[in-house]
Amino acid sequence: MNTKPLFLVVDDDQDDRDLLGMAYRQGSYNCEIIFAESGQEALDIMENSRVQPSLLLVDINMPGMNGLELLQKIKNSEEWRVVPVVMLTTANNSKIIDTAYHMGANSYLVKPDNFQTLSNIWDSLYRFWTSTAKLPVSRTQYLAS
Amino acid sequence: MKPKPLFLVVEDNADHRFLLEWSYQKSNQSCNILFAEDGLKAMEILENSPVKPALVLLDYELPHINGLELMSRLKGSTQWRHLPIVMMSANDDPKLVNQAYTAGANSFLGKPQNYEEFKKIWSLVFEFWSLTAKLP
Repeated sequence: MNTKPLFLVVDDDQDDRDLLGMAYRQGSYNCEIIFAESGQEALDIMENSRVQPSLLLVDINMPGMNGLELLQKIKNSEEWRVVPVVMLTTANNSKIIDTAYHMGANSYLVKPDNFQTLSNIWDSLYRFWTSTAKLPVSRTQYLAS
Repeated sequence: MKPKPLFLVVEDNADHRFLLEWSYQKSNQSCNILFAEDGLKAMEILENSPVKPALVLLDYELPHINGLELMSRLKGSTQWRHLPIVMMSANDDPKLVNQAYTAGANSFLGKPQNYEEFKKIWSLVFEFWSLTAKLP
């Protein structure tokens, strides 16, 4: 059974997905990372995947379902609200930050404009959520226990 | 210069408050911290303090109102729903962890067992929440 935390990154921007993937591959991180290109794809993955994500990293500005709409769907769902949702976006104004927290975002990160800072943010995120915080136990782990 | 965010720590155990303060002094002090000994004092601070906390570190096991009840009150209130709450407990039973997240905890920490672990964990908490994340 796979017990590594699984991070689901939801971002429509190919470059941003690639940069995050590079930051992930740069270190020896004991987690898995998968990508969705839209809010709908993220929901499909969550509905159909055998393994529940331990945490979602969600962009806000996306076509179709935006990140706040995805957040709302997850936090309004009895089944999925337990999963932490961390916003990762270029939107850096206090109104959007407050709105995201008000809607149930577990944390909020701003996308930097250079790779080194992104790498540092990924590292801090990883270290906090996997070695400091306790992540929720997934549906899969419940079923297996 | 942007003021440091204020973290309100709600903890009834004097030894744990001491360890937190000690870990904070050893950290780069990227935030300010304020202690409340129980949920009622935390509510008083939230309502009356001129500087509003940017984050609450909330012990689960508290007298009068336990951490989960206090969190439910805050997350059920339009005024405080946005306030990030990091729940902490010596009991990291997965059922309790899931219950806390489902009730709206922004994160959950298992309380460490020794000084060194305390220092390490708090340094990562301060680093992530005051330097990496954007707070409301």
